[in-house]
Amino acid sequence: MAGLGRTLAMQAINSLIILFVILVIISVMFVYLNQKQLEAVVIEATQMFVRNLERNPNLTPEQKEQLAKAFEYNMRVRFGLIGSPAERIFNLMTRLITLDLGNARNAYLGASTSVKDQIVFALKNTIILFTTATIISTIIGILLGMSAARRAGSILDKAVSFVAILSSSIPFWWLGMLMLLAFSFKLGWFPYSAKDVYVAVARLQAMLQAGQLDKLTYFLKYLYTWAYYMVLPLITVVILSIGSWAYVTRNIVLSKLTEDFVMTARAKGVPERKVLYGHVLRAASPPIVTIIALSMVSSLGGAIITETVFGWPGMGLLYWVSLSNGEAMLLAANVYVTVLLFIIVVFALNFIYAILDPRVRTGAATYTPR
Amino acid sequence: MRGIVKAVDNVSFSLEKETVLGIAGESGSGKSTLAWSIMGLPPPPGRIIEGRIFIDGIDVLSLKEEERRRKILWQKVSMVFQGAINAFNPVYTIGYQIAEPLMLHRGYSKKEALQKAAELVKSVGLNPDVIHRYPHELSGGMKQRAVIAMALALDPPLLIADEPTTALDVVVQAQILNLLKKLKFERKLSVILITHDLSVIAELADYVAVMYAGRIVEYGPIEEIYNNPRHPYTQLLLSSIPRLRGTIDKLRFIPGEPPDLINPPKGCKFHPRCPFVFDECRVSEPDLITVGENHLARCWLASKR
Amino acid sequence: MPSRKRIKEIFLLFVKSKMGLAGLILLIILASLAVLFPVVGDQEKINNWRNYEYWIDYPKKAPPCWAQRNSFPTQIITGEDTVSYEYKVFRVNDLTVHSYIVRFIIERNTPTSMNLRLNVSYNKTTYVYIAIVRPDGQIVNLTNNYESPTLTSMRTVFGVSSSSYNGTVYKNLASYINNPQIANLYIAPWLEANNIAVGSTELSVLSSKGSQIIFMKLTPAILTNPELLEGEYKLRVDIISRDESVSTGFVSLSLIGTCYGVLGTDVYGRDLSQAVLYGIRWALIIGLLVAFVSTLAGGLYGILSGYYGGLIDEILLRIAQIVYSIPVLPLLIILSYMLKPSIWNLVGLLIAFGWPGTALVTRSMALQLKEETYVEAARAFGASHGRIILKYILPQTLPYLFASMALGVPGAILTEAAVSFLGLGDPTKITWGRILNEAQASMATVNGYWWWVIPPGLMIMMAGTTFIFIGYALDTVLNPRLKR
Repeated sequence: MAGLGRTLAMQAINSLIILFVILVIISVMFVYLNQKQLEAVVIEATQMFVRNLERNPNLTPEQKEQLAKAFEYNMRVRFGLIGSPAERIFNLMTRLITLDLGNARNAYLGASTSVKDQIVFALKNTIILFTTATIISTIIGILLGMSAARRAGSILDKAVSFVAILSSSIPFWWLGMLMLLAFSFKLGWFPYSAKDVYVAVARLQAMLQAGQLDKLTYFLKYLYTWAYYMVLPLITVVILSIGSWAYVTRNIVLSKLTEDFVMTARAKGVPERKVLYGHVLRAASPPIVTIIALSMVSSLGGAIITETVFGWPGMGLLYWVSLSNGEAMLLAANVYVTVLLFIIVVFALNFIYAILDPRVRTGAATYTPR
Repeated sequence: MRGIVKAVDNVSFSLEKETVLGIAGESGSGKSTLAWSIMGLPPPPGRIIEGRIFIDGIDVLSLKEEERRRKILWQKVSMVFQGAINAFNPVYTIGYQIAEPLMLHRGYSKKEALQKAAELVKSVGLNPDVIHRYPHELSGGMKQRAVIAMALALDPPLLIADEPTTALDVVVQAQILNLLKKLKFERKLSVILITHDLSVIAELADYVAVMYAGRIVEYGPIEEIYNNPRHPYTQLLLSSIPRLRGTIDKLRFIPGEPPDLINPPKGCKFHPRCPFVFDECRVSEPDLITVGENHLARCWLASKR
Repeated sequence: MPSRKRIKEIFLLFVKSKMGLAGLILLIILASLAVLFPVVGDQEKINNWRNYEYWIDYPKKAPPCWAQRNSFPTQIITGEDTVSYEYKVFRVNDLTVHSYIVRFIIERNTPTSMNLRLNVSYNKTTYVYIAIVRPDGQIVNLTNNYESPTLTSMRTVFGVSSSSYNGTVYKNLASYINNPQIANLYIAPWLEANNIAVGSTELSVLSSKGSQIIFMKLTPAILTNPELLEGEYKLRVDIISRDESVSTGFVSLSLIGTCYGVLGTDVYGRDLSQAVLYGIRWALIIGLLVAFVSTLAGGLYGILSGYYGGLIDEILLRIAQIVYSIPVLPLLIILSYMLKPSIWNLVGLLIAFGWPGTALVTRSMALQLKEETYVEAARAFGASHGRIILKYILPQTLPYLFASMALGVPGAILTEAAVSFLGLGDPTKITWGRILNEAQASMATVNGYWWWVIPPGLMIMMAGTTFIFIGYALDTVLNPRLKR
């Protein structure tokens, strides 16, 4: 299908442009953000180096000066402080694209100080949490929305709409705080800091190694441990997301239900279930996909904050940690990877949209009559 | 204002094979409601309250919904829709949608069904690779043909055509009407043709039923109706068609508006707009009485002469 | 512009819908509270929000009084309350003693703190004696008493010079007592004199809860299962000076309660109800400003882009699409980190990221509208582009713009709250997000300070819901679609 191919190509170009623009913005921001901080670090390090040099009696003052200069220059190179702003921006961009990310000062998440490792670690966790949450809330939300649409005007329908509207004015992170108050403080059922999941898992692994657990028990306990730490953030995200999924689905499905082809399908003797899912939902899926793509933009922000409330060791928390510790490369890489993924996902969604809706394929020629 | 509307009230007729019944009337006269009700699918929130429908000897309303779906819908009676623009689901191909009833009711495989769809599409005068196209790629006339092809998929004895040519220009209209005539002859099809356009009915129908306010006000063979209309409404309808030849001094129309069916007028439902109204009309509603060979009219005036 | 009659029509329809009415009522409530804050709230408290000294006499981390069963309300006894205290002057050897006995009642619960303030003026060595006389007649010394070899100096207790001082002295007696030294020197001996054993575990209990224990019944279980001794207590404070011309004055004794007000206090003792009320102002200002400007700017941008078409449209569209696709919050956070954390910067950023949504919609509207026959007709009789846009295109987009404006407010409020919550907002402005940020920083969830966490969030919800109701009702009224 030539139409499909051309549509995809155009979207790919769009995505690349956006990625490029954002890359530029990030790099510009970081170069300026960094300047002052890193200058200070370099100067301090150089001064320490010079002090150490002073203690060495074997060098002449000229040699000491030379070594000091060389040291300072090397440091500047290492921190990317050489060259005009434009050069530095370009450098940063290149490093980001080629994923040459270097090391952070500390291992904030996971065991390694490498920026790449920390990001991979954080990314893994964020994906675990948010993918699970998305799957659960989409399925339930869509089913709920469809039920509401079919019984438009009923109590279920009104309740769905009302709850959805309410939940779109509740901040994710506040709900998280409430959850912690209720379930961690009051009831003590769940832990405060989700980061500790790795500690717990490590303990389990040690037990497995020491032969205290058999494989099956280990596996079950492993799942249970993850569930234990994940439940609160998961429920928070799911509760709020179901509302908007249900509402959007309800509206879109409702608009499709009143279309003529639905009556046509019924007249053709298509069983009601197939009418709903095969015809209505299928016809509603393109706009629903659009809404998903649009909501990705805002859910990204929500993810950051939700993770900080629960201490979930994901990209959001890493973002926050690197921001508060002034870890520029970590932060830049974090933002870059997040945006990259985001763009890939949106692109994939647009691709899915093009598959689902034949009307958007560019270049599809209108059939000429005989 | 809320209340119960009798969209279709006391309508009775019977139809033979290879006959076309034209049902004529303004919008709001209950034609579409009638059409959907014959299939057993009154448009919500409507309900069929009383009456019986026999198609090919089967009492449609006595069947349970599931049975109706399996035995009647599309197999005994199918429909060609008004505004075929939206009769097709935009996300599936034409071929798939034509093939759908074949796969559902006759157990065809997808391949077989698509083959049959191609044949059907050919028989309505379209190029068989239309089945690979999506609805938005077809012109209005092509889609109308495709809708007809879809309606014929299971070879039903009865076809209901609800305003099949309304959205089309006259040239395409003529083509579709010719197609319908051809199909009627080739397949011995019975057709209920519903439209407000009397010229279309003139082209195709054998019998005509004129509806007003949910009732049949005149019924008869086409020559009788067109040459000797007895109900004032029919007369006015016919006289409002501008003639192609001859001088036109004034455009004729019927004054007033269709009645509010929640609070219909007493007596004959047409009396507020009838130029021949007299006392009897305002008081009681006339029954359908024979006014000629196979010709009935619901009018006090007609019953007098 | 639609006629007056039409506007009235719209208004009536709007009010008829339940959502519109609810939204309108909520809006009126919020707006009145915001505008009338000087009347319904305490402006002084807000002005002193960052002045920690102002809040010394307020209970810290205190829940609201209606939520506590056994509460001890804050009592402040001042020098003017001549009924509540006695003042005597006498001499002991060569020392002049100004003795104050302040009476207060303890019932239902103990105070969380006792803040003592006195005015003193002396030029020679001065000592102080403090004791609590209980209803059961027991006297708990909090400093050395007259039978001890030495008296406790002013410096030890009040931290001022013992030889010469002129001014107010202040001591938080609860934190004074909750101290291992004091527990060891005075409280433990008192208990042991009453046959209650004090070992090292008991000592550590006294070091943190001593200020409560002194108000408990003297039973063997006083440290493990204390029971409140209700009744009239007296605080005795003697200023003992070698300076005959020593002058003193009783300023106040604040017995800080266990609860406070409508919404309790935060970790600094600040009245949260005022903060929450004041936050309405900022929420409304930010929300309305951002929504209004970004909708208007975006709307015009879109109209111009759609109307002029061609290359201009292509460029403008691309720009809008790119800005629209940028994930706002991550960038917003970094930008807030880098720029001055001023609330107006934040508003500017929110507008800068908020306009494309409206622009994209008004652009498609303009694209359609410019093909209408009346626009063609207008062009035919020579109307300028500006006139066509103002007279024919813009009015048609107004219904959408109004609804969109209302619906844009919650987003702005939520985003600002999120940024403030992360600590990147304006530290000089009290917003709900900021309150929650401070709550999180003080581990409010871990410690169960629900009164600090729940109300600000509820307000955010309420403000958001108000505008969603309004926007939704506006949308239904102004953009009638086929009803089901």
